[in-house]
Amino acid sequence: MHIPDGYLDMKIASLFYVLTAVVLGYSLYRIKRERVNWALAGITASAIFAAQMLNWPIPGGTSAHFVGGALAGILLGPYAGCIAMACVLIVQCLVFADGGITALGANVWNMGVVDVFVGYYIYRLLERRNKFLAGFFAGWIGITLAAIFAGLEIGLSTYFHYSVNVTVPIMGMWHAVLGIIEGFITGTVVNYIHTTRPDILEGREVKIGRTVWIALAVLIILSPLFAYLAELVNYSEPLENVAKYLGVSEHPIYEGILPDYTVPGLNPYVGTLVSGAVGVAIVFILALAISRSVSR
Amino acid sequence: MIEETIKTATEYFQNFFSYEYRKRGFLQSVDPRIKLLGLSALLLADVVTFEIPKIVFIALASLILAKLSDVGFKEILKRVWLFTFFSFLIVLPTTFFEGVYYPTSFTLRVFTALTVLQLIVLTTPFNELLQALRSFKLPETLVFSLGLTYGYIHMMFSELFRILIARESRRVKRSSYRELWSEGGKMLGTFFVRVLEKGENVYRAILLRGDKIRYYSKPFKVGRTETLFIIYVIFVLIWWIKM
Repeated sequence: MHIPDGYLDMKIASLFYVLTAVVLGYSLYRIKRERVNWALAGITASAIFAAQMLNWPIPGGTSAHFVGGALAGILLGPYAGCIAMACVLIVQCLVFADGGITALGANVWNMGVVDVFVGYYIYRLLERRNKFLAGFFAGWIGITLAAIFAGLEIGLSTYFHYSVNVTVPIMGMWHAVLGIIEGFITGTVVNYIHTTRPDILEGREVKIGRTVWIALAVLIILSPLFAYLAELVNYSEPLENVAKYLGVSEHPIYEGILPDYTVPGLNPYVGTLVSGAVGVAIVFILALAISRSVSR
Repeated sequence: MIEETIKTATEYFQNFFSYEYRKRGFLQSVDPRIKLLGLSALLLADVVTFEIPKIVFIALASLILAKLSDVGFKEILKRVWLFTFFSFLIVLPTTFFEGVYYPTSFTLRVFTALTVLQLIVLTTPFNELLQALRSFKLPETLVFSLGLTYGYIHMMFSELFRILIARESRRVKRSSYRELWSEGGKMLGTFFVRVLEKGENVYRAILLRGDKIRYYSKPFKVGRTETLFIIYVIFVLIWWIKM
């Protein structure tokens, strides 16, 4: 997933340098106030460095390997985890020339910010149910989202002549599949540490703060706004564009209860909102049910 | 086979971190701060253009620096060919709808960027890199974390190598695959706990010495070598603009 020099144009590279600098700056400010286990931070970073050496290429994207951002977030907390991942990526860039200097901002953003923070919060949401599953979902979803960001960056770059329609699905799909291995490793390691050295994870087993729930609620409430904005810029599904371009149309064998995210007989916009709410509720209830049944 | 691969890789990295490149040459004697800035300027000149003559010019300018610094072309090629080839494969399909110019220039850009990056890697010890980053006003905590990570990577590989050797010496009979995997899992667990405990001891020792990590710091200098390097980079950049 390490983007090399020459893939990102200067606008994208600069934008991600700025975004990463803001998050890193805030993380440094936070860890100065927190008690950081520097030994654990150093060991986690070096272990992730070693694990990232297992690398294989993906056509149309970059490459896939164990990333470990979620693991760093879980073991060290999001702020120290973010710094540890940034250190791994800087050492890889400046000592092994793995990942470019101009792309360093984007690489740290994908693997050190998105993967760490998403992984950490997913783990925190599920940890009370089952440690292994919490680690598994944290690792899996974290790496998939990080890969989608990498796909977005190289797809939006004018230097790379594949559009986001190609790069995002390729990066996202491959990592969603290979990310299962990342999830398995993350879950196993977290579970092992919980058994042998529970003191490491102690102090992080706090109840999910009100802020997390508020942030989730705000995201859900704001989602219709994104739908409206998407309509303003005439956004359509990349696959639909490809189908239109190739002159093919769909022939569904089953329409579903809420066909194409609408409620039959209802205004399409309101129907999309209702089906979105139903979808969120179903996924939420399913996640709770699965984690409860496993925790027993 | 997996165990043998891990052992070979561990041995390589243990040696890599124990014995950094100590060749003497032109770039090795340039102040790390000036070298980092100058080579970054060459890197930028490479990645902002798609004109093949300009890219080849930067590549040649970098290879001249490599030659002056006793870094062989074979050594660079050995380190950059894989990702250059991989980048070529990625953009190869565009040949069918855009012709050969874009894939050629894209691959050349990646090759040149990797070559410049290798020049930094092969001619700068890590403590000098830390010194340069600190003088660029990077936060102390970040530079400290970088130093700690580097040190712990070394410690981790040397510990892993010891565990692998100890495991090999204890083996008296051929184990089944099931036993091998089970032993492997136990070894990884032991490795983690051992490394963590050693890491904690090392960190306590650092604290006992009264400070965090001290890295060797040379005074900032702009001598004859640095002046030559700056003139060279400016000359290359002016020529590159006028091409």
